[in-house]
Amino acid sequence: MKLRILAAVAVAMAVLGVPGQVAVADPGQATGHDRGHDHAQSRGDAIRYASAQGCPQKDGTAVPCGTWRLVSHKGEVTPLKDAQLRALGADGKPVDYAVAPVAVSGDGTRVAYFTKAGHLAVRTVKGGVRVLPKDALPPRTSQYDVTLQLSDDGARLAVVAGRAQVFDTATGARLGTLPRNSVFVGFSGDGEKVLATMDGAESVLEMHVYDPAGRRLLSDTPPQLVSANGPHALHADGRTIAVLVGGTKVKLYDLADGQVVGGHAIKLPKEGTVHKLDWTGDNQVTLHVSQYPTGKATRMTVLQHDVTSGATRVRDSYSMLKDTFVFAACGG
Amino acid sequence: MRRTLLGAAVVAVAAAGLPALAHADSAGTAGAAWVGSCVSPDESSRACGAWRLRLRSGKQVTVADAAATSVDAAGRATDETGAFAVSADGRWIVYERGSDHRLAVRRAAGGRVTLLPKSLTRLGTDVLTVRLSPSGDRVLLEYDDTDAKEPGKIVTVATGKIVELSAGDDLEGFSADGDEVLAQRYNNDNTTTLLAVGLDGSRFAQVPPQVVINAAARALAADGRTVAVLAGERPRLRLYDLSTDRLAAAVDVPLPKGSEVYHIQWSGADRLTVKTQSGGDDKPTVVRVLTVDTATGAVKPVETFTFTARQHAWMTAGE
Repeated sequence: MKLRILAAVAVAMAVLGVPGQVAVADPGQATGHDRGHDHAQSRGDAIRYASAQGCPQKDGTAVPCGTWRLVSHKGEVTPLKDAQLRALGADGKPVDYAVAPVAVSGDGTRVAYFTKAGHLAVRTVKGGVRVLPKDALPPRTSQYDVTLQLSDDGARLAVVAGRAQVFDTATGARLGTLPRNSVFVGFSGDGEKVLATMDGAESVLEMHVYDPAGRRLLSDTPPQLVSANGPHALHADGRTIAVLVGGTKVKLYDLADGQVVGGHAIKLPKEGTVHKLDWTGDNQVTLHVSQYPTGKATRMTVLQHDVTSGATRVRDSYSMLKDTFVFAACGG
Repeated sequence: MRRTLLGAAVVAVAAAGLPALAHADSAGTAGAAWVGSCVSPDESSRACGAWRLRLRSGKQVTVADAAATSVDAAGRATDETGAFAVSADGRWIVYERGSDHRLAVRRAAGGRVTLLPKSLTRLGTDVLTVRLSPSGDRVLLEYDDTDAKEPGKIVTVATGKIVELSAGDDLEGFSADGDEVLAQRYNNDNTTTLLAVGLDGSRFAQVPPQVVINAAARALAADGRTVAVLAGERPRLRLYDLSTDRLAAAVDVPLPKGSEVYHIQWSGADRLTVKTQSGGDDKPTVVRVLTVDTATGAVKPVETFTFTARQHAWMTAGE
């Protein structure tokens, strides 16, 4: 019995609604939500999520089409014109069924993607683009085998294609590479450390903390409560793990001490799928919970949970563009 | 119905000697049991013919009154293999009687049959898994009913006394002395509790470390609290105390490469009997029985069995 921890931020979903029709994402919810991040940038311009449209085929199935679109908190839809939409395979040809990955930082200020020229790039909202070095990926890497993940503040990018690499998004420099067999889980709350898992020798799941250079700082074989549940998030302190347990509790575990150090119950939206859990403050985790009501657009609820008091509040709640085929939501 | 087998001497016992089974009369004990395979009209295979015992004397004997296939709650015949088990010491067998599908216990060498209470099989035998305690004095019953409502049971053969376990627990087997059973329970926080439940109502329960619950094989010692686990591609042995939650350091166990551990049982104060299998699919399955010194990890071969596809179901003593 082993839990696979997925670091993927893009979640595939069925095509809903009429193709080509651009719906504004729930304008009633688009304003008035507050911070949770202390970033100078106005939250309204920040990216809420990225969406790829689906186009129906003759056989009734759908394939991704068009351009990656960035949807802001204000509800503005901006095409990400220089981004590759359909993933290029190892032969350099686009595939029908998979999108090239994109990732949005937790604060919504940055987006990472493949450019149409095939390079990895990080774009800052109302700012410039930083293209990563050409050798960021091994030659002939299929884009659909690549997972991208930005730290909450967008300063670090993890590129996972087999081995995970960490880049500085301001300079484009590679900071380090995680060891082989190490599975990237996520950045710490401050983006300065990396949480990863590895299959241990005696059929156990190990958890490791690395610095961005790929040096191991901590190593632990956590108890079942941690290994059999998920998702997991690493605190800025580099040792405290938050883990969603059984979909009903957020538990805290200290990787350095091997102790469960706290936790409270949490109530999630009905039939919600939690696909991200991130530290967004010293005592706060943020959860992205999606719901897939039949015949309706995918709904996203962003919850802030105080790990000290157990209080939970809704930070944001919105419906995806109706024609969304695949989306990438913010982390924290 | 076409019978693909019967008569063929398909179980080979290697002449490795029986150092770990120091019974003066081990010749009359069974090392393994098997039942033949038939192909149904729909091409699926099922057990048919008689259950056979491979005695350690080298002889093969038929258990004439044992049913190859089971019945459902209404008494209708099913294609599920009939209940059968051999005690670890090879002296006793339990099976379902062909005439009425009641559970019966007798010596492997033959002799008087003890019938177990009829109530034990009222849900049918197709949902039933039976195990014998290492010395054959108790039977462990587990019901694979869809709603997991029927509790497992421990039956003392001599008296017919029944002790009920908790419904929903997955039973792993008897402790070395047959006074406890090892069980696991899945919790709603996705963890698994490991329990040692005594016939006298005693119990030890823990949510053990990953290595204990993820291990390929586990066994409860005669003390009712020490659990041995074998885990990993290069197997390592650990002892875990269910009363204190203490996990001891690992000992390497140099088992032959390419063989997979599928069963372990305590067979002495510092000794485990380990069963590995290799082959399978189109090839014969080779089962190696070995002993492992729990202090040093030293391995000694005991016996080897080979089973082929002509044998629909098979088991070695103590499984």
